[in-house]
Amino acid sequence: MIMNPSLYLLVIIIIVSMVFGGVSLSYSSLKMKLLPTIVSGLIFVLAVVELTLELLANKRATGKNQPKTEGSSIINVNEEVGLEHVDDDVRGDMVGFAWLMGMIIATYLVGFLVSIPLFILIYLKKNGISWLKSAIMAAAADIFTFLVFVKVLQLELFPGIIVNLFT
Amino acid sequence: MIEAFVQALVNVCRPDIALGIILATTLAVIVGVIPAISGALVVILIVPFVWAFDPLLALSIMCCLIAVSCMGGSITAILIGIPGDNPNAATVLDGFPMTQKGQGGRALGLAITSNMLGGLISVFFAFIMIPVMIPIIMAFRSPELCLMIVLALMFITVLTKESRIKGLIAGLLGILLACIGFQPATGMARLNFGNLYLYSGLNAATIVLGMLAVPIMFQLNKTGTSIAPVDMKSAGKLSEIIKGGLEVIRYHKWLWLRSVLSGYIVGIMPALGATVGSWAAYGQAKQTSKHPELFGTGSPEGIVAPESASNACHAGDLLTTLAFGIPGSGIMVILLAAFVMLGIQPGPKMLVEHTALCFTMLISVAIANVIAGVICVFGSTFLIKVTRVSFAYIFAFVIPIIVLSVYVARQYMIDVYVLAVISLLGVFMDKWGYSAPALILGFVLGDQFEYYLVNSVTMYGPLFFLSPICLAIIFLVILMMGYGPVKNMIMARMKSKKGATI
Repeated sequence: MIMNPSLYLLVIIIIVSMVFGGVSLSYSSLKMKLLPTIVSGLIFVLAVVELTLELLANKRATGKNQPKTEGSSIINVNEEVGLEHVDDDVRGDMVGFAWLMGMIIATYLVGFLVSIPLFILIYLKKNGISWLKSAIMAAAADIFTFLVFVKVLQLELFPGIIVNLFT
Repeated sequence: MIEAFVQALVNVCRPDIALGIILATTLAVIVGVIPAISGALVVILIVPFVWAFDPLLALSIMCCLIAVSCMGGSITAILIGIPGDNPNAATVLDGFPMTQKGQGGRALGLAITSNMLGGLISVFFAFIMIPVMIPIIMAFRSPELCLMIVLALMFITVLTKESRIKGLIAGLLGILLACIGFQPATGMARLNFGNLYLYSGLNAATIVLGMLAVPIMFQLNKTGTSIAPVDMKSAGKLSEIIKGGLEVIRYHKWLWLRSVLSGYIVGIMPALGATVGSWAAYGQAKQTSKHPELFGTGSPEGIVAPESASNACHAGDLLTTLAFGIPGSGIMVILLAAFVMLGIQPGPKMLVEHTALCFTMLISVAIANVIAGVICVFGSTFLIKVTRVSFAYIFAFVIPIIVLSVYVARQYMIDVYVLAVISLLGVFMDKWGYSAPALILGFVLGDQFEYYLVNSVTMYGPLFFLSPICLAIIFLVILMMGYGPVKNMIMARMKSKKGATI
């Protein structure tokens, strides 16, 4: 039997509520501390209750040696297919997150006007779209971004640290 | 009241608003056709840009996007058996069998007409209800308004799939995040841990996009769906679609009216969206039908009922959101976020102080329904081609839009880095049963909640909640929290008793 990571999130929430509650209590003004103190306290109590419930469900299921019950936070290792599904699910999310991070890092380095076409080109090519189509789409997106955000909305888009180094 | 209505009519005739309504409606119908994404996603993506628009224009556009996306969704539900939007799921049961029988055009006519007329009549109902609601709202003071926000959070936590406690934690976390930065009453920064970025608080656009839009995109990247093979001839001829539409008025008018009413009532009830409305209408249509055995095999009644109810929900949904600041469904939380970004305080005073704006939004919904109906009737054969769009294009374009949207909202690059953290949080919160809409609602209403809470405590003392209206609201809150667990307990006891008898 392995523990569901959801329990770790609850522990993090408990810690966060304690920190926020502690800091809120240190304010002298009632207006400053009233809401954050009440809210942190409530989050703390609710998170402890939820954690206790999940641990109890965990213990009960372990005692009976039965598969996962609805709403509990344990995963039976015998449920290999289920576990694989959970792994695949998380892996899929991580792949999506990697793409997002790629976009953000590229923006940090080379700015929006380069990272946007670059992201579109690479993603489309990676997903089986031809070079020509991908390049046309990337160029169109870049022109659209430039016209709408730079020309029409008069926004200064982040140029990227590499460009900043040379200017 | 009449002045506000006239003002609203003048507003929708403004060239920018009229053009905005037409474009938003067209976009909503097209997006609604694509099974993997819905109008909600477009609304989420628009939120960071609302500052660039006039409030009237921004809110009219958003209302149109919310109101008509399910009309486009009915086309795919009928022709390829895949609901374009969640509320269209019930339509698949009878719509797709009709297409298989070669009656796709007739089914489309039934769906589009029911949907369009349902949307129109529900806006009319909303207009009638506004004068009734205003005196009720005027009776609300700070304590009542404070508890109304608590009630709104409770309604949203009911939507949480797994545990209501987790939903409540999410809502409270949202309020706690809203506490970061300057406190309006004192003008001092708090909970910023000495960080300069946190002095101005977190950005609503970052929270909304990270919590809702990014997880949708990750899901799309995982499943890689949205390409659907379809026979273009299945859409039928224009004459068949028009005949199907006339059938609603000739043979199913009472069923249509019943479904609209049930959908509208479901829409008014907080936290029950169009999906619940369409299934409830489908259920009542089957129960009251002379031929219930035909449901699921291609019964026209099985299309008329859910389609008319799903669109009727939106006006009721909008009315609850405007009148009480309680979002009628998850998507209305985004609308509330847009209000905040436009500097309009959502909540009970909205209907009193911005009556013309509320009317403008409702009239926009009515106009959008007519435009969407026309687009769907004449463009169904073209619209169905949209389902062939590869998921790769959607992901490739939407991710840069999300990142750019977050940046342009405040032009802080740090907001983009925070987006990555919030996205990860959004993905795992969704996976482990915490409600993202509840967190956003808490974040959006956090400032107002604090204002009313501090006012109530300073004016009426710590026992501010003892007025009759407050006690009634508290009773509703307890009912909301207790109903599910008590029902489960009773069911479990009944089951165990039955087991013992056997």
